Amino acid sequence: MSNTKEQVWYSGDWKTSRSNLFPPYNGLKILAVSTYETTENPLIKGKLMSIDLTITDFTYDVNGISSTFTVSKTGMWYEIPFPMNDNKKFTVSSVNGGGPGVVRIVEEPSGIFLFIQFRYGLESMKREEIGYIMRFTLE
Amino acid sequence: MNAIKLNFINRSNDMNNSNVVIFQQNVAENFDELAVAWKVIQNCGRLDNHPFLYSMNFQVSASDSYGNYTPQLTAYDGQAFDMFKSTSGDILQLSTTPATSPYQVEVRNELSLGAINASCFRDGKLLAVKTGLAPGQKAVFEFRPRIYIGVVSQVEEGDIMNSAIISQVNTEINLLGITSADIVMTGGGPGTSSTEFSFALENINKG
Repeated sequence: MSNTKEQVWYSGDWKTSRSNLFPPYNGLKILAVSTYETTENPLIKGKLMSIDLTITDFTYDVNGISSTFTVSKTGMWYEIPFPMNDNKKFTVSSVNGGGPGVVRIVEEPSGIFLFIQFRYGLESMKREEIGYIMRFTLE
Repeated sequence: MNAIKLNFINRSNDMNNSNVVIFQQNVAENFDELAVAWKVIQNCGRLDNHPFLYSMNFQVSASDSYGNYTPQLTAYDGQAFDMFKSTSGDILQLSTTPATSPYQVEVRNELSLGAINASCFRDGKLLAVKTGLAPGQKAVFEFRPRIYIGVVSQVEEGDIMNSAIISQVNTEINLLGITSADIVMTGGGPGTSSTEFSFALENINKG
């Protein structure tokens, strides 16, 4: 038995009103679905089992190009896979360029946090994202 | 946690004594619109560091068309402030009517006549401003725990930066849950081996 919780994060250049008419159509969206064990006692928090991440890049596609993967081990760097299709429109890469961007989950006394480190965006205007963007706990 | 302790470290190869600008985007406004240079780090030589605080709270203030500036009032998410004419003159006061959104702070012009400017400050430095609010209008401020950092020339603290300058600042640092961290700048330098400036978080402590 398990239960899940969704969180969404948007990059700072995200336009909520409407997308641009030309690239970059919009910024980046990260959907995290965290899966927890359920316990018999509802007062006891279940253990975080895994987090399914979907990183959607709207730079060159108004509908977004997504990369989906799962993270489960704390402290370990996970590469953001290039999507199988339309991977030329997926601009997320390492901060040094070339390779894939990375994420990791870090366990702290106050919870488990998602750390991101990558570049994305137009070739002529790459944007960098660094730092902690989400915290995972059971409410 | 009242403030995040940040420490800028210059590990770049820069030989131009470049200025490093830090600002925040008011997410109640569209990205790429005007932003204020909240902090400008100057004369920070190679291997120098520059500690500074990022307080979680910010303050709001207003100025009227007569050139009067109100005191800075600490604002919390969901609060609204009214600028109105009292028996002593124009004053800014916490409103009994909260902001429309629990994540935003509003400054409303409740004067019967005359435009106002609404300003936000963090750690005593100008963070955002909305000018020319006519009676009945309001400024809306919302800040996420994120800062933008980049190398920009000819910008001073408190300057309003246009979209052309903002587009040169491409690094967004997310500070969620952080109590202290080093922001390390690398890259730059003269000659053919020069690389673009890059920023990284190191020595991160979390609450």
